[in-house]
Amino acid sequence: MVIREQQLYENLKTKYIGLGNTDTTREEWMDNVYRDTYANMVMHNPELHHLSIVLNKPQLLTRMSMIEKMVQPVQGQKQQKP
Amino acid sequence: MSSMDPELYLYNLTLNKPFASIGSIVGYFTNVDKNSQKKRKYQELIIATNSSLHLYRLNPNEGKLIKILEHDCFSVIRAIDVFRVPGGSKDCVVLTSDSGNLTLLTLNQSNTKFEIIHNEPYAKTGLRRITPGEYISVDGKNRAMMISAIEKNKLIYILNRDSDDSILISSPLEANKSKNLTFFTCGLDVGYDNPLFVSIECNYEDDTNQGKKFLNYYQLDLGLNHVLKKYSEQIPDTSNYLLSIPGGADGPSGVLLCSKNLIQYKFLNKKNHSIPLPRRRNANLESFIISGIVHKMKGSFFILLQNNLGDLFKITIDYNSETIDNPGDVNSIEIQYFDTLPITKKLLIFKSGFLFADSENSDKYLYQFEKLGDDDENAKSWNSTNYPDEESVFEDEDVTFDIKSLDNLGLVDILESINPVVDTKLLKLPKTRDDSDLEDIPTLYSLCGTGARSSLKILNHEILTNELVSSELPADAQKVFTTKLSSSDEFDKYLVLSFVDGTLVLSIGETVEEVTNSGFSLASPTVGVQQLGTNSVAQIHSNGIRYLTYDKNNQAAEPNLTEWFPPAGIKIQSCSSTSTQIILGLSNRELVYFELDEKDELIEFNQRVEMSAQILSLSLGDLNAKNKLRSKFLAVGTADEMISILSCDPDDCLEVLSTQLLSSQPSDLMIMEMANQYSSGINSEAIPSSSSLYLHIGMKDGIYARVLLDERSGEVSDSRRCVIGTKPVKLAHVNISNQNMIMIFSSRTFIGFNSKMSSLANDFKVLPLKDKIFTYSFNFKSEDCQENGCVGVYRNNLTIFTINEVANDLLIESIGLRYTPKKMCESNKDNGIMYVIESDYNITSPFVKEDVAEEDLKNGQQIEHDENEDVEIYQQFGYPQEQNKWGSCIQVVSTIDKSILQTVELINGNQAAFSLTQCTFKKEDNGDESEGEDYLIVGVSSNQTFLPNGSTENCLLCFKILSNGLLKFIHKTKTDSLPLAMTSFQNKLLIGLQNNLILYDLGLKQLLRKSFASLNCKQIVKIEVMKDRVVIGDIRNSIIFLTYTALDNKFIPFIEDVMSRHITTFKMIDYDTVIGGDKFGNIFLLRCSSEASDMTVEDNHGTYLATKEKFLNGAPYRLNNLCNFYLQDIPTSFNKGQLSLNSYSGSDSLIYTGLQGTIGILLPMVFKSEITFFVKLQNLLREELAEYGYLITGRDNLKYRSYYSPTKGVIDGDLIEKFSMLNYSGKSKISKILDRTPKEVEKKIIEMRLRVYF
Repeated sequence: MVIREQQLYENLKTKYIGLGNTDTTREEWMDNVYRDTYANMVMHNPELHHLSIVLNKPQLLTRMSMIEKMVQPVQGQKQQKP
Repeated sequence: MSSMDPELYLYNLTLNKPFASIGSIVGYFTNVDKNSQKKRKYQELIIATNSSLHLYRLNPNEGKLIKILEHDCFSVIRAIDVFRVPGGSKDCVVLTSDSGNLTLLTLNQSNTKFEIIHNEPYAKTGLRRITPGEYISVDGKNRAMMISAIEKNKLIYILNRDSDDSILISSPLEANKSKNLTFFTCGLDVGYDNPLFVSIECNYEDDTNQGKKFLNYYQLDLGLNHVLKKYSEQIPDTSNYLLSIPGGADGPSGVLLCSKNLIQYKFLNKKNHSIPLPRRRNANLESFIISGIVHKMKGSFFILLQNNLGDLFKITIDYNSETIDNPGDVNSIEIQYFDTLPITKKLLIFKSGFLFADSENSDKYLYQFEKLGDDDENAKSWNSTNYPDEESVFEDEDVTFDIKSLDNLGLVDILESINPVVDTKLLKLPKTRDDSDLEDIPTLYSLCGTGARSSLKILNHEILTNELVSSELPADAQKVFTTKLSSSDEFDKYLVLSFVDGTLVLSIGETVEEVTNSGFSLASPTVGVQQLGTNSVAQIHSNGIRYLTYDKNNQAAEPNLTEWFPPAGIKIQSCSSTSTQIILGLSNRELVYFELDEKDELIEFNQRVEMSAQILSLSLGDLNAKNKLRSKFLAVGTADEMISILSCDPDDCLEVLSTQLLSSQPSDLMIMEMANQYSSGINSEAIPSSSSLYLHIGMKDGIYARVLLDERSGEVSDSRRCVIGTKPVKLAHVNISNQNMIMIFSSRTFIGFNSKMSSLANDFKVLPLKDKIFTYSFNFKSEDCQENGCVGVYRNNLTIFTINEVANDLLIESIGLRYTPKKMCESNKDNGIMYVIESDYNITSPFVKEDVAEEDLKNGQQIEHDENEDVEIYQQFGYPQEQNKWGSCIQVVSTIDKSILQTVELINGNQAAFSLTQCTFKKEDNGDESEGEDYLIVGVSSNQTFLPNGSTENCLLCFKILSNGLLKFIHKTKTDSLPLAMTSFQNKLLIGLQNNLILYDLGLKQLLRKSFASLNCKQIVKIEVMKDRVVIGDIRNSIIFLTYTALDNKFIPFIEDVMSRHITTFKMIDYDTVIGGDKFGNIFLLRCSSEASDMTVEDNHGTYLATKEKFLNGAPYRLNNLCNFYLQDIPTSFNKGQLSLNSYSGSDSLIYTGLQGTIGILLPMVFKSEITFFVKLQNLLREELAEYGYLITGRDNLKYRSYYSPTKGVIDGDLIEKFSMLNYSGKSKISKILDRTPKEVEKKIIEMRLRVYF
């Protein structure tokens, strides 16, 4: 029964990324939130525009760096903060 | 009140649409008729902004882009591309949006609107990171397209065409890979092989290759109908751009992969070629490609790439052109510097040799190719034969080039855009000239643009006049006329000025001279002048008509005179005339009518009609438009507030056809034909396609109205009215660009016209003249001024001027600024001075002089004011870049002289300014009478870095504002963190430092801390104050209201919001209400309950509030949310006021601006009936427009406006105005439900528009 539930969960998780269960760690959860956030910044053009003006960087490059941050959102932040 | 019936309703109207593009495409969107080759179609350009599509047509002869169409999509557009199904006759548009549909559009040729071909649903609505649609790439031969999401999902659609030429789309094939991020996709051109797509991807959970980028090739097998990943290879981690190379018969196929300082040619497992991406001399920052274009020509192609500094490079590919089936291998690629343009989102090339640079910020440019960079023998170029592999590229040190001014390209046209708008103030300019009666209209002053191309823009919604001659008259003129002497005259001969007690006649020629033998009566004021018949002129003066017939061959000779007099003691008060008719209104309320007979003699109609009251105004029509014998109607305005339409037909002459009651006495009338619809011709001049007869009415109480006059029955209907001023309204006819327009005179001078380009059909606009005021004007045509001329009088001034264009858009004046502006504040001295802080990240400022004196450095300031002539160079090339360096300054701008008065460059310790306020400090011990001195406080940080934020030092710089508005540095005060918000509060300075509020007073050496409060929030971004109330906006904790108890010197938070909004800006619109915007594009209105508000007023010590139990760990009370609205653009400023003259139009409205260039207005709706009407109409339109196919992406408007929080209390005026886009059956269906006629509904809609004069 447990295995069946586990399978069902895995199945759903591939379909709906970001799905969590009781075993989801804080890091996994935060990773997911950060990824959603970065993706949202990229997908909503005014937000990307806002960011690119502040950083004085073309929108394409701002977009790239945001997506690059999605690779390791939480660890990446930790590395940046000494 | 419940959410169904909010307390307050606002009517939202977008006055200026955002013009920051997300993509643009070029193509032949209108049908190309294959049978008639003689008519070549022009290429069209579609610019997609985040919310709308703009269609332009290129006129290659003039090198101009002409706007054809604007389409609001009411959804979030994500990507756009163009395709033409093989064998199809025209190009089509594909776009993705938050509706979850793949939208295929075509342009309907007949009535130029977008039509939906398919709206294929593929995902849920909204934007998630796995929702495909972020990237669209079309196969080189347009057989298939790939729609990808940022993460995981990719869909591939196959495009086809059936026998009726209609486009078919297959069900999607999936190419998903979980935990895979997509950076860029591109469709390859492989001729007629199976379609191939490439994408830059990386996997985030692969242990060995985490974060490594791969170039993946996806092949669509058309035979088996499935997708497979054909090839994959690791690429540099900095790769960011792909550009497909033509294939099949046109080229070698393949893709250019662009990474940091590197460009590579790649095509499956064929040989790679690498070349360096050249860098500017002395520029040590990395270079990335951000946009590019391949232009296919007959037998060859042309590639341009642009890097992150704006430099364009030309790539030449040398390949073996072998057989069609087997494209040759590439031998080498070569790169060469081409030109430098502003940073673009997209580069587009037209077939006729134009380059469109779709700039990310500010104006967009159209360039013409002058040459293709082939001729320069000495030009430096880099060839891939010298670089056997990637490493050798980076080893080469000789990769620099020298920038040059535009050489291969020439600028031909500019599409003006104000994006990004950082801050805006609605201000009324102080009176500059005391003698001027010009009543200024509040104007928007916006901080726009980025870097060296930024500016303070003055946004007027006015019409520009071009003054030719101005001269003084001996007395105040009442009226002015021009007249020909003969119907065959091309130009006006006489200029007649009417004074209170006389007339002056001037001849128009090379010089303007007084005419003595004109035959005109000079002793009495002229009421009208009319050229009649072939060689005659009638002067209607208060004591009669002088009918003068001139000698055909010698006009200078004394004319032959016939006179007509009214009965003794009776005066002529008003008149109107056409070239065959004259009508007089006498002071005994009688109308006298004359017509010209065949012998050019003036015959009085045998009957005089007595009106019911004093005749105030008369109008016959205008015969010039059509070759009519006589005007059919006569409008008579009488003192009993009535207008009568009389017939001029010989059969029923001077019989009353209809009457109309007015709200006030009609001071002037004008019957005029106006074009009300325009069709855009191929040559893009708008051609009037239909016109109607209108009666224009000017009223004594300053109201102007326009009614439709039925050309058969003389019935009047469909009135449009607006408040023009406080003086009785006079009217005159003008002809501008062959269009009849009405000049309206009251407190200001206005022009009324039917707009050529507008979302509203039959959109009537009334706009004021810029900087000009007249009491009367008349058309003017002379040898020197052949078109659009007018002569106007004001007091004792005579002005001849032209109006060259009546644009519907904003009239933009710019004052150039140095860096990207951040904030501004206006002087409280009413001297038209603005203080602007500007800072740019990652640049080295060229304005910092090396030889700054030590003393200046100590002070942290250098005050310089030398005109730098290099500004234009920086505007083209940008400032030199350097990591983590700042360029920042404070500028004093005069909005009157439109110039920069002073620039204070922050040169010490890599400082950047982030906030400013003007503050008046009052010395308490000086007695109450002291005025207090004005200071400017600027919040500055040193070595500021972002993501994550950090700085080494933060301080407040204090400047004294001198009497002439200039700044003098006083001292600086260190703070713990960066002050982002500050304001003047009770003669002290209130700043927000992270979550702390600090009150400062002025000291001798620095600012002195007086009070401190720590709040439950993250970072205060804005503070507004009113009396003892302080409202703060937080970067993520919405709005908090505080009350300041002066007795205890304490700040007590007492009410806050229930939602945690990410505030960008807000404005207190009254003591209890704020309107705010968040970074997700929402607008909301919050109100403090009267219970909580009273509590702060009654309790001087705030003991009750301070001790009251906290509610859910926050303030004791919560704010009511009255309105919610999704704007899409990020709100950057709110202003309360009016965009029109004074308070003629009633209550204040809220004007907001958005980052991407939105200017909008929220009008409060007062009447219950009005609210119910528009709410109902809005609901009906939502359905009807969707059915009609106007909502092209298939996004439900209600859901769109409720993107983040359910929309409430705001009526979407933009949607309402789309009523006029419906066809007749749609209109009548809606009107029927509303129990009105379509005309009445349209009228109500336009009345809302007229309230804002836009």
